[in-house]
Amino acid sequence: MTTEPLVKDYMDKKFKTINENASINKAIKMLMKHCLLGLLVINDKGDLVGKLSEKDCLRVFINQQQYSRPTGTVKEQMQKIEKTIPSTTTAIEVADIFLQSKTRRLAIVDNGKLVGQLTRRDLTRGLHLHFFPETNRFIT
Amino acid sequence: MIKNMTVEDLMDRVFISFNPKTSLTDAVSILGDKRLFGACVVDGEGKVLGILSEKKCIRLYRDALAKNSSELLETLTVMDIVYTDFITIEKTASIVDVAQVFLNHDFRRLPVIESGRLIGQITRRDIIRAIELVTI
Repeated sequence: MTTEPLVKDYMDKKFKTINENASINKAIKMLMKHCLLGLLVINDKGDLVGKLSEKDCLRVFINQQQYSRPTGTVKEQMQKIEKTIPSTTTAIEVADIFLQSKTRRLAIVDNGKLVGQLTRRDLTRGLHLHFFPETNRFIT
Repeated sequence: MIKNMTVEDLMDRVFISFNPKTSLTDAVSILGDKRLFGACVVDGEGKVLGILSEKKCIRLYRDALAKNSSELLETLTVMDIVYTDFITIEKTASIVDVAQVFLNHDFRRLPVIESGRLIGQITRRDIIRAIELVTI
């Protein structure tokens, strides 16, 4: 069996981000256009400042009770980042992080720089391919 | 208007589900291809037996990695990673009520049941898509 995989082997390096000052409307359109379940949020300097999920967008819709176009910015609805991890974290360590929390998305930060994103889905697919690489014809 | 919409207006009528004998590894392969998780496991009569849990799946694969062996994974079926304490919804439920259910729980999808049989599913994405269409 090969050496234990690391987060860098599974993380998404081409992840989408959204600016904290963007409208919730723009966030919703991004989620739909790119088939995403959530986004990491950055400020004007490119620093990681939060994360936004489908649930956060739904909350706007319900709380505003207008049942029409949601208003407001990403900054007003985003959740704080509880934890970031380096890309050298092992797959077992990151699996334990997902198992012990409700988080579905982790920001990968090396030397203060945001370098990737890892979702539970990325991990599941990565672990499956680790054991069953022959199924790669099905997984894109 | 979204306020007047029901589950029937937005639900998916074509969706992936698995019979209970499907192997775990086959299910994960298929779901990986579709870039989704959380499908229903359904018996021959359309009754939902459980919904696939990504967390349970991660736990099993994590333990296999720790043991450096996929032997156990190859013996399991989808029933080994379902959760059974799920909420179902009827097609006549309002979208506003469904959105509130999604807010109060961590589910991403709800099975839509009629006469005890699975007839569709509705996801958080379906509701957000409807919100997006309202803003066009």
